[in-house]
Amino acid sequence: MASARREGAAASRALRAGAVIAGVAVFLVLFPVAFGSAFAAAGGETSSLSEADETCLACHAFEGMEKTLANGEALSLHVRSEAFGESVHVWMGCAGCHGDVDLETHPVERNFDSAHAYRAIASQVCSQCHSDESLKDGPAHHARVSGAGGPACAECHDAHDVGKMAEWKANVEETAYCLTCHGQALGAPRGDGGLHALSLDEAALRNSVHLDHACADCHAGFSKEAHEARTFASPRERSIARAEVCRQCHGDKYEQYAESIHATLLEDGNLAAPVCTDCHGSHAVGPKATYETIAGVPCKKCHENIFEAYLGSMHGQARSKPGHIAAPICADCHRAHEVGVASTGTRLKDACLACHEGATVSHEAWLPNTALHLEVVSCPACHAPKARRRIDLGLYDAVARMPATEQEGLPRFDDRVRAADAEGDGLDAMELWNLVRDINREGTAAELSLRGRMEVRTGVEAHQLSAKTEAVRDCHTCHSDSADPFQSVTISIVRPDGRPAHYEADKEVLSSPVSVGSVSGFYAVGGTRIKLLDILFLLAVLGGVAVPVGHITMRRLLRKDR
Amino acid sequence: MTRLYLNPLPVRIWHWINATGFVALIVTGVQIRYVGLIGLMSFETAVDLHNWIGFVVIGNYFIWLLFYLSTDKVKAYHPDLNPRKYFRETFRQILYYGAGIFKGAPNPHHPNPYNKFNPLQRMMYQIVMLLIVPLQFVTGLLLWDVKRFAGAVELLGGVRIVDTMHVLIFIFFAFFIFVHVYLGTLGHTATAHFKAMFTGYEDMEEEPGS
Repeated sequence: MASARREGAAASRALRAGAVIAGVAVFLVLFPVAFGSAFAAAGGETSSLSEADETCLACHAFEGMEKTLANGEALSLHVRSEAFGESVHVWMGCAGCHGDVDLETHPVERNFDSAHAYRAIASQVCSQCHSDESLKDGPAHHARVSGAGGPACAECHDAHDVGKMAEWKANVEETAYCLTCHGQALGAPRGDGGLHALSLDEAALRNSVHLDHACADCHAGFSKEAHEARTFASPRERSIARAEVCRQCHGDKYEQYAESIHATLLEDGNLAAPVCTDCHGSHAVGPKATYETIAGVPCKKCHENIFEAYLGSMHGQARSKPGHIAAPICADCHRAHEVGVASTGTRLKDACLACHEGATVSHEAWLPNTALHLEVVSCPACHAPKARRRIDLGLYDAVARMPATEQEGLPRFDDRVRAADAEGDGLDAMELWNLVRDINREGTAAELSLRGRMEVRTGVEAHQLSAKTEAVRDCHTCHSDSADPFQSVTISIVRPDGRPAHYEADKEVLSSPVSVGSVSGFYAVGGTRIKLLDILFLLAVLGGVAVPVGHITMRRLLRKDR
Repeated sequence: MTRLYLNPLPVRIWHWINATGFVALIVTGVQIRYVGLIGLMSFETAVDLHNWIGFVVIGNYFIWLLFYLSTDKVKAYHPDLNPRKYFRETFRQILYYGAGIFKGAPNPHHPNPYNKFNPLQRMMYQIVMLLIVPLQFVTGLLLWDVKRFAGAVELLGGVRIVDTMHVLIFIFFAFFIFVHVYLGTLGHTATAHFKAMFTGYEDMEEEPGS
């Protein structure tokens, strides 16, 4: 109340001149009839107001009465007398809330940082009648009464024309009802002392594709009558739970999402994995095209480095041109909802070939074994010429005819690799051979072998795609044992979540005789040739020359003796 | 001097196409395998030539096969089915190449159109023509289009195994070519066998070897 008193005085700063105060006093004491006339002229004629209230309204009923606050904001001091006369608080009169105002000293010089700050202070008086305990019984105040984060009472209920809630609720449209509070700065206290934002941008909501939906369509359990108190372990869990509602209408998209790596990560306990609202927003949900623009694509929020690489690529540069929507953006290759693991499977290659329909034919015109190249060489390995490449030897199930997936219940591949690579310096050929042998010995009916694939080393590099004319077309780039791709070798297995786990291997695994068995599924002519065969070839040539030379020599020597 | 018609025209055509093809395949094969070390031609050209020549040699193989399957000259590979005699003659031929030839001993084998090869040639040529060459054709064909023949590649144990087989046979032929040419000089003159493979006629006088 003390603060409210101070505010009342400050609000009258405009009237602080002594002459004005004297004038008011004379006006109030000597000309009561004139007061009535003036009040009527201000439009506030009512019989429910007390004489004291009318005294206050003698000034505050004037429209345009205001004071300028510290932040430059204008705080209205105007009270609509007619509305106040009809409010549920009229019986209390002005003094009921502004009991600290002393007409002898009013107005007192005071100032406030902002109108919001003023209302927060002024609203404290409400708790004299509406205690936290009593408010907890109502549906909408459980968060507010916890002491922080909510708007002041006056922000929602107004200050002087507080009506009967039942009547107001009956007449107000539901969304407007919700926005009464949630359209303002509103937050729920978090365990860490911060606030979980509960406010929304009304303008964004009005512009969203969900414009025609009522709040309760998504926020089931919430209405004018119900506003249950919910608790979550963290704000993130609140967001994840909230996104579940989207499936009510977008079941098909939800099913696609459920198959995605994002959903898998979430199921595995990774709370950072995105849910619907992380990409589409909660209330400012735009049309599909919103998320297919350079500015609006949501993927960059998490994959910033990759998106930067994309922007520099020929695809990104083309897409950045106004109106050029033919060039692919994230979802065109990775899909919007059923986002898969990029580094396994054929979906990304399929995505390339879906747009570049003639690519297979054009490659066949110059590239021997085109189908094989398209299978074992990732598109960026040639079309991102500045990227570093590597050979990934993926564990392959020959029985199931698909990449081997780590089986739950069996010893983890990670443990096997660590056991095989005792020195931790990467698997050498013998260690790799032992690893593959042991897996097949202990495993199921699957016949596991290693199949190689040339790929770029990072996801960022996979997006550094250049123009077709800059793509690698020189066979020497790869078909040489000193070529860049053969200097880095990894072993991989598909984890249960669909993502590959990579382990370093010595590059000699590509050229060791031991690898004929363990790496039977990969061979690049010239690049991974077995050194022992080179020695054999040299011996064969030398032997081919030595046999005739030796035989001729023997013949001549012995002929002399004859 | 007796002149025998040992090399019929289809055999001579097959032989020289095959010989030229083998040399070309070895040269292009070396270029493909050692692209960073040898610069006889571009990798692309070497691959293209290797593929085309490979198909020519495969087709040419059937000239040899059909000729021998359709004529009685096939007896040259099996003049008689007497194992004891075969092993005895083989031993004598080994003794000749290993010792007798150095002392001016006569070649124990006396060819005729139906007994053209000495026992060692008979054995070696059958191994080469019925096992090694077809195996090289098959592995070469599989490597020519690994995806098209993926099932067969898997059946053989994977592309690395197929390639290793192809390279091992290539290494064998690299050796074989030298020795084969040298053995061709062991007629009664150094060029007698070469001339016979052009004209078809072999002079039968003073044959130190074949």
